[in-house]
Amino acid sequence: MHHIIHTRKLKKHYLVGRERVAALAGVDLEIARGEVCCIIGQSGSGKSTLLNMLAGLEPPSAGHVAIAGRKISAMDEDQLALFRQENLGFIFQSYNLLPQLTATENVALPLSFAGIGKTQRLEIARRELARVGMGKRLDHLPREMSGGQQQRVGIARAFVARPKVVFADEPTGNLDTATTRQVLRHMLDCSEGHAITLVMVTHEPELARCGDRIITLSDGKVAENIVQDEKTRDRNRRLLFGETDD
Amino acid sequence: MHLPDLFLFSVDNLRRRKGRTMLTIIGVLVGVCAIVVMVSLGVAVNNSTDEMLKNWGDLTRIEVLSEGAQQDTPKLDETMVEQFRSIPGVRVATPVMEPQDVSATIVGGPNNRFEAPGQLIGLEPGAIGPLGYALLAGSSKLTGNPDANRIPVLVGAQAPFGFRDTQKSQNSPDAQKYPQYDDEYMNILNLPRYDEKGTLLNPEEFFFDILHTKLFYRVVVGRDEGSGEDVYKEYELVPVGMISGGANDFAINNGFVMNIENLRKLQADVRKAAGGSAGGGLERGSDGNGGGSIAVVSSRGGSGGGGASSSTGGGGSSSGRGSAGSYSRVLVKVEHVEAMDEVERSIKAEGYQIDSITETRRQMQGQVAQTQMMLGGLAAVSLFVAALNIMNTMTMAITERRREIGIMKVLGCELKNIRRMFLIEAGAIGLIGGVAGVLVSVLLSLLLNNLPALLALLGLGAGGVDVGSFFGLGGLGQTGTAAAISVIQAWLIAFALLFAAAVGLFSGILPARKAVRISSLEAIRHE
Repeated sequence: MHHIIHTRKLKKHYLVGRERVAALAGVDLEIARGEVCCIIGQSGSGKSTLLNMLAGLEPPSAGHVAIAGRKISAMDEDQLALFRQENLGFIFQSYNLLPQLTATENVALPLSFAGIGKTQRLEIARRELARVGMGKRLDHLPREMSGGQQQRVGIARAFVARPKVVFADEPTGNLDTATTRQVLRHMLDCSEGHAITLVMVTHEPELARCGDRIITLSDGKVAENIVQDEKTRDRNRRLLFGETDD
Repeated sequence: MHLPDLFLFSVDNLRRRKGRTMLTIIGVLVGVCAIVVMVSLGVAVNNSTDEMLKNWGDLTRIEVLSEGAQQDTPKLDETMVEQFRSIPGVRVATPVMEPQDVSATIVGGPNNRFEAPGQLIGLEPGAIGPLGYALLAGSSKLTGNPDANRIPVLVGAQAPFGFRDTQKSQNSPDAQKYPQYDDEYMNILNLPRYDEKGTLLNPEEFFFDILHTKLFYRVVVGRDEGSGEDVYKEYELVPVGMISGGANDFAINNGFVMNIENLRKLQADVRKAAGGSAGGGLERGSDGNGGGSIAVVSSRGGSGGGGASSSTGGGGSSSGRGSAGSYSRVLVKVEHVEAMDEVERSIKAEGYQIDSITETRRQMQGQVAQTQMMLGGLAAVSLFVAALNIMNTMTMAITERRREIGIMKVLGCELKNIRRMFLIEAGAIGLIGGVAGVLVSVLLSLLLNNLPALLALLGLGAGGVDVGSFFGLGGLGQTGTAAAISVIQAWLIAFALLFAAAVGLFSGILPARKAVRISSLEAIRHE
């Protein structure tokens, strides 16, 4: 399997007053193409910082990040924007839909950044929304939708341009248990359906156990890096989603 | 990202903040309106001065005056005229001779019954065409003088109105034929009209057909000792054609133009007839020595003695005049209006005073420009305030939308597109304000141009104002209407729109830069 994400000695520290606080203290990672990778850890363990750096939202203090063979830690803002447009998707904890745009328009947004014409991108967006079960909410504004619905729009938006990697930062953090399962289901389906690598940060171990790889961070270091075989993974998923073996 | 998408996005954002956007737009509106109205007032003033000056006469004619010249200025003589001719851009230059005879008249008609205080004007015959005088009838051929007592002349178009019937009482309304003027520009409506064959088409307007009537230049050459009556000498004038000097060349329009050579000879002859002794002391109005009180030759020194311009043909005595052989006036015709400045400068450099419509126009325009600059400055200040306003609005909008900008960055929106989005927003505020400003300006302009009519309509009374002339003078695109107070031309509208959009764009530069610098981390910051 090819590694789509690669980090070497990834470090990040912040200045808090005069003190230097290390958020990441040297992380070496390889994530394979098509994998569902869950990053888990206590709050303050550095999992969000790691995700931000993997997605190129924050430059590392030291070390490297490469995605799909491109060293994003060395890119400038312009290159990063273009790289994200072509290769990355992002799912936010607080959905972050643009309030003035309808569900369809929100999903079509990344396509418009890529210069796809209006008719075409709205058509693609509608199809993508139907895939996450939002086919009846196409023209709703974010404020007219529940949290779970908004996050499904967010998922459609992250996957619509068929990126190589989708990052999800606590995607179910604001949702109740039932909705959480539903949303997670859609994410996993989208990832598997298009062989898109999914990197998800969560603090719920039972969600993390649905992944192919579970990385546990502690004090800015990788404490555990487990790859589950498909059997274990699928059993965990069935457990979570309450399905029976048949 | 395609431009239409950027536009939609920007307009969408403007719509989200309707109130603030409106206020900012109103700011631009006021600034644009101030500028457009100021300029339109200036344009209107310039238009009406131009119209007025066009009416005054030829824009490419310069009158060089010997009066008021500086001390060490060379004489305005033939040499100097020759020098004027050599200035690049000069088409023709001619001295002007105008004898200021107090006791000469022009008579004609049956028994020479009609009399006019006609003014003889001597010009170089070659200059008459180029000077732009319009030939209304006959020919302009003044060369040749077959008989010293029969001198070809060109009659000014208004000269017929100068004749008085000597057989009627001076106060009688029938003693003279009067010109009729139109209302607007005081053009004369009943000038003589000749057809191609030279037939007068409106004879009822005049005492006689001036082009087909013997005219005489009657000049007093002495006084009969016995009877105490004046002794005349008459010279026949042969009208060969009729000319017009344009609306405001009074001298030409009312005068009798002849070859300058013929006028010199005539004056010499008059002087001879008046007696050589008196001929020397040519002082205007002198009634000193004996009966020879002859004021034949003008005070303007244009007498030039007898024959050639340089000679002092009148004999030694005439050398007493310092201005022998010099002219009081020289007319210079320039090829194009564009060459006027240069030619005028060259002539002024010699030390002469000049008089030209271009000079007058320059002075008038200078004053208008000054006023306009001042008012324009005020208008510019208000537009500057509007620009600050746009900047402020945009900065606020960007501060409010930090998270949104962060999200767009995370979703892969390129920096240049974020910059464009905000520039378009700012530019749109400018442009919309510009459009609104132009509309309001046009309305204001209409209002200004129709103010008296409106006042009259409201019964406020536009006392004595000619309301009629204000009707139908919408400011838009109208030029050359003397009554328009404000003239908004297409170029002004185009300029105002472009300028407003440019001001908007310019005001957007700093805020847009700020937007671009916003970190994509804003998107994941938890409230």
